[in-house]
Amino acid sequence: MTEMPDNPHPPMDGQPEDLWLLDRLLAGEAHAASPELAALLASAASPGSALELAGEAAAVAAFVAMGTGVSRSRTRTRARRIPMLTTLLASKLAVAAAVGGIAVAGTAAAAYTGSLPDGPQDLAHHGIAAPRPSSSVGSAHDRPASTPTHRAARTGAVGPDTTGPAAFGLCTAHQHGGLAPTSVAYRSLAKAAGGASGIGTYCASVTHPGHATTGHPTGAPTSHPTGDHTGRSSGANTGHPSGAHTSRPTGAGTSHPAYPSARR
Amino acid sequence: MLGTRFTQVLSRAQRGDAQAFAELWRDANPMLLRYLRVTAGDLAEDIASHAWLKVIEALGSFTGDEPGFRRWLVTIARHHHLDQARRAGRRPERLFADMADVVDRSGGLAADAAIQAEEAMSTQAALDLIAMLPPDQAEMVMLRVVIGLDVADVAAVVGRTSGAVRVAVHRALRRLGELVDRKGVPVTGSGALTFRDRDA
Repeated sequence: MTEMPDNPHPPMDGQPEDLWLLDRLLAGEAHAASPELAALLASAASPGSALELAGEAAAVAAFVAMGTGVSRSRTRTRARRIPMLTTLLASKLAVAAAVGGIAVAGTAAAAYTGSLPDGPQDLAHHGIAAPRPSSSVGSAHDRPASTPTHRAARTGAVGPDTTGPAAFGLCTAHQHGGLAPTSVAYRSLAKAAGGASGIGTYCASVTHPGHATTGHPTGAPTSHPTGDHTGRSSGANTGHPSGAHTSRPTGAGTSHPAYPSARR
Repeated sequence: MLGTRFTQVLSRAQRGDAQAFAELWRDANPMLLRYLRVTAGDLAEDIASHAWLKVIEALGSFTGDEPGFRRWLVTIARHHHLDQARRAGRRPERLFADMADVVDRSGGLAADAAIQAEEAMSTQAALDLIAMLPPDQAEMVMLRVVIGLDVADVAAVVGRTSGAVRVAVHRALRRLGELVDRKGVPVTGSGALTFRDRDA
């Protein structure tokens, strides 16, 4: 055992005690014998990085929006949630969002499964804050892209379409680098904007779909965890290092002032 | 691991406490992602997200301790991965995000997070070495070392006997020892991304 680091072919086979090497390494008992292996395993199991924790807000938003818990897990909400979830899982954020209106929980779930590196928090808050009906799937899909000004003029429209939560979510994701040019989400956004070159203008015209949080059972923004109690370093708390947002000048950011305050 | 606090945190999360759920997520997600990066490559984040949605969906009916929770979580993720692969009519992929991807995605991080990104890269280097193992060995090492399951739980997750798991992990370690000999060890800490070259 002790010769392992130096001998590429240590005579271990058939020695039962060797089978416990990992246990001893994990227990810190064999570090001296195999410092390289111990270091490698320690690296593999090191504390979570900011990147690995960046999805927290979206995950929590999904949790809040889906209303988990013993009391509700087997009640009426279950039947409603599963088909919606299945649909969303099959599609992901942009597809579901761009094709039609999606429910509050759906937005959060979609934002979550969208795995957006920087946008989830925005999307999550937006999702929770956007009480849109889920009944008119397809309405936006059937409607060709119109002019951004027309869409802007429709601010406050009740029916979900690409000027609503979907557009806001897509634009937020796009502005935070969450949409790869090859992604369906990006193409959906480009289509809605009448072309990739029009996305900037289009998103600048997209307003926050409303932040009526009053209807939400748990009040997501205030219940959003800060992560402080875990003792992790600040960079990992939210996945949003300070300044990350302010350092991204986006025209759209100013057109929905409610977003920053809602975010934190 | 949340340790002695787990039961209480789980209970709160099951009652709908978002902060408690966040604790569960923060504690387990990094390790879940790493496991999936080794077993599912680029699909890791997708699969992890799906797994968490399923966990949220069924959290109320979960009973068990912390290792049980991790086993549950990783089993959900594993099944989802296998289902996806089966539907796609192919074997599970093992595609590994290259370093450039990590660097690129950390490009917007602030200074203190950048240090963490460097540490994450050495973690990534360790994962890359583990990923060079035969897939079944790599998975078992990740379940044991990173997810933190004991041998019996690993055996249950992968559908093998405990003895088979021990032997496979043993072979994996021997192989990792050889890889380390050739490539050096990714060193974690102090924001340093260095490979210790044994011959240097």
